[in-house]
Amino acid sequence: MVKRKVAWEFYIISAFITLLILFVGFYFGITLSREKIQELQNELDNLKLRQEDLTLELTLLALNKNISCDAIGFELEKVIGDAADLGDRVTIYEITEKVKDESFYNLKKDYTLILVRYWTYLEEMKKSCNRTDVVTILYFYSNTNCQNCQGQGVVLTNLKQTYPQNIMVFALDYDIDLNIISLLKKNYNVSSVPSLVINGKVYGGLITIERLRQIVCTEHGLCG
Amino acid sequence: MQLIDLIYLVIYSIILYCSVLWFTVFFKNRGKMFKNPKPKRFPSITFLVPAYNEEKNIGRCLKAILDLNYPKKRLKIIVIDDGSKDNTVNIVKRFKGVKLIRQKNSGKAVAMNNGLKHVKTELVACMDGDSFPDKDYLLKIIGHIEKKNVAAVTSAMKASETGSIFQKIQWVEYLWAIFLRKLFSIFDCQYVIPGPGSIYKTEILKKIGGFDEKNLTEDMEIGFNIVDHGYKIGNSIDAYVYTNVPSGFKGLYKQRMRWYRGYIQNTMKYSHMVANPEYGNLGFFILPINFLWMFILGFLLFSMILRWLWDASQYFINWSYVEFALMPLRVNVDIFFLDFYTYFWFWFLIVSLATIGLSVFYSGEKLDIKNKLKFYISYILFYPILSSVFWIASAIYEILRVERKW
Repeated sequence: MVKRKVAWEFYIISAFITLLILFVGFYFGITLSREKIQELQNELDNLKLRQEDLTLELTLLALNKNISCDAIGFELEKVIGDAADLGDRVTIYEITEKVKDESFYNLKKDYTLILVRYWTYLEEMKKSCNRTDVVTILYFYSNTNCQNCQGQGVVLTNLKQTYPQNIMVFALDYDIDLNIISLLKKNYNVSSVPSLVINGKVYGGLITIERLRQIVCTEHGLCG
Repeated sequence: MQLIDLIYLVIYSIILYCSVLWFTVFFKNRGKMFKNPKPKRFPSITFLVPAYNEEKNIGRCLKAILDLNYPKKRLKIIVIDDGSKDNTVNIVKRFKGVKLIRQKNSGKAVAMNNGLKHVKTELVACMDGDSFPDKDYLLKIIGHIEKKNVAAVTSAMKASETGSIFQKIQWVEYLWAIFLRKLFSIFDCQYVIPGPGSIYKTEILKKIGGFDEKNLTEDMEIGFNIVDHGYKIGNSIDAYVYTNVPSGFKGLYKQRMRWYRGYIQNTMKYSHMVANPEYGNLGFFILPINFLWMFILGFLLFSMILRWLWDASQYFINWSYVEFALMPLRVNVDIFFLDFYTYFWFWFLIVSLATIGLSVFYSGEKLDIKNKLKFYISYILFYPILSSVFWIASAIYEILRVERKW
C-alpha cells in the first residue's frame, strides 16, 4: 500500500505561471488597444487637415465662380472615400475590441462630426457647381440591435462599386449621442435602422440592391 | 465584454493552466524521462495473448515474442482463442512451446482471466494478438516492476501502419501518448494499462481479482482497481510495442466509443476516487478535470458549430441582397485583426508544436519534416475535432443509456 500525495507545488507553480501569461496578455491587449486608437487618431487628424484645406477651397468657390469645380469635386470624392475607410476600421474596433479604450467614444464622435462636415461640403459643392449627377446617401445604422444593417452595408458597398463617382455614402451611427445626429434624425424623420436618406428623402427598412438601383435611377436620375 | 467572451476567457485559461502544469511536471523531471532501472535478474514471465479472428496478425505477434531478448527458459506464452471463426487456431498450433487455450466467444476479459488461471510465473505480460513487441522490449520494461508497490508497468505503444489519414493522425497521437503516459507515471496518475505490452505481478493481479468481465475497457478498470488497492503503475518510455490501429473512420469511431464510454463507466464505478486527495494527483486533479473537460469540449464544439452556421447563413443572406454578385474580399492584415483570442491561439500553437516536438523526441522517432509533415498537420487540424466528437458522442450514448457492447 502506498500513501498517495497531492503534488501541491506543481499546482501552485503552474497557477503562477498561468497568471503571469494572462497578465502579459492583458498588458499586450492594453498596449495593442492604445496602438489601434493611435492609428485611428492619426487618420482622423489627417482627415481634419484636409478638411481645413477644403474649407478654404469652398470659400474661394463662393467668392469666385471661376474656381475649378472639377478639382474640388475630385478632392471631395477622394476624402469621402478615405473617411469611409476609416469608418470601417472604427466599426471593426468597436465590434471586436473586448475592452474599449475610454478615448474611443470621443474619437468616434469626432469622426462623426467630420463626416457630417464633409457631407455639408458635398451638398455645398453640388449646389455651387450644379452637380445633379451626384447622389448623396446618409446611411443610419446601429451596431447594437440591428438585424439588417450588415446586409444594408453590403448592398451599399455593391452600389458604390457600380457608381464610384456618383454615389456618396455617409454611414452615421443612429445611437451616437450628438446633437447634430439627433437633429438630422428629426429633420429627415428617421426613426429606425437601417434607414437611408437619399438626396434628402428618407427610406426606412432594408433596401435590396434591385430596389436601390431603381431609386437612384428613376427618382434621382442617375442612370439617365 | 460580453458573457460569451468571459466564458471563453475562463475556458482558455483552464486549457492554458493544464498545458502549463504538464510542462512544469516535464521540466522538473526531464532527467527521469529515459531512465529505466537495470534488471537485476530475469524473473519468469508468461505472455497472455488473447486472440479473436487474428489469423493475419497472430503469427507476427508470436514470432516477435519468441524472438525477444530474454532467457528462453524464463518465458512462456499462452494464447487464449476466443472462439475465432478463422484460421487463428491452426496458425497458433504451428508454434512449438506455445500453449493454446480455447473458449467459446465471450470477450477479452474472460479470455485473460482464463489464461491467468494457468499462469505459474512471477510476472504476466499482456499482448494483444494484433500487436508485437520490439526485440528489447522486455529488457527495457522488466526493471520497473521490481520496485516495491509497483503492480504493473505500461509500455510504449506505436501505430504499426500509417497508410490512411486516420492512421497518420493516430501515429502522432500514439507518440503523444507515449510522452504523456511517462508524465502520468511520474505524476503518479496513470489509470489505463493498455492491452498491448503491459506487465503485471501475477500475485497482485490474482489477489485483486483479475479483469472485470463486464467492463467495456477492462484494461482501464484494472488500472483503477490497482490504484484503488494502493499499488503503483510504472511506465517504460522505450519498451516499444507496435499495434494495429483502425484505418477508417468507422473502425476508429467504434474503438473510441468503447474507450471513452469505458472511461465514463469506470469513473462511475470508482466515483469514490473523484475529487478525493487520498488518491493523489489522479483523484485530486486528473479525474475532476477530465469531468470538466467533457463539458468544455461540448461547449466549444457546439458554440463553434453554431457560430459557423450563423456566419454562413448571414453571409448567404447578405449575398442574396446583392443578387449574388461578386463580393470584394477585403483582408487587411494589420493590428486590427489581433484580439485576446489571437493571444491564446498563439500560445496554443506554441503548446501544440512543443508537444509534438517533445513527443517525437521522447518516443525515439525523428521529426522527419519531409515525410511526416502531413502527419503533424493532419493531427493538429483534425485531432481536436475528432476527439471532441468522440467524447461528446460517447457522453450522449451514456446519458441515453445505449447498451454498452464491446
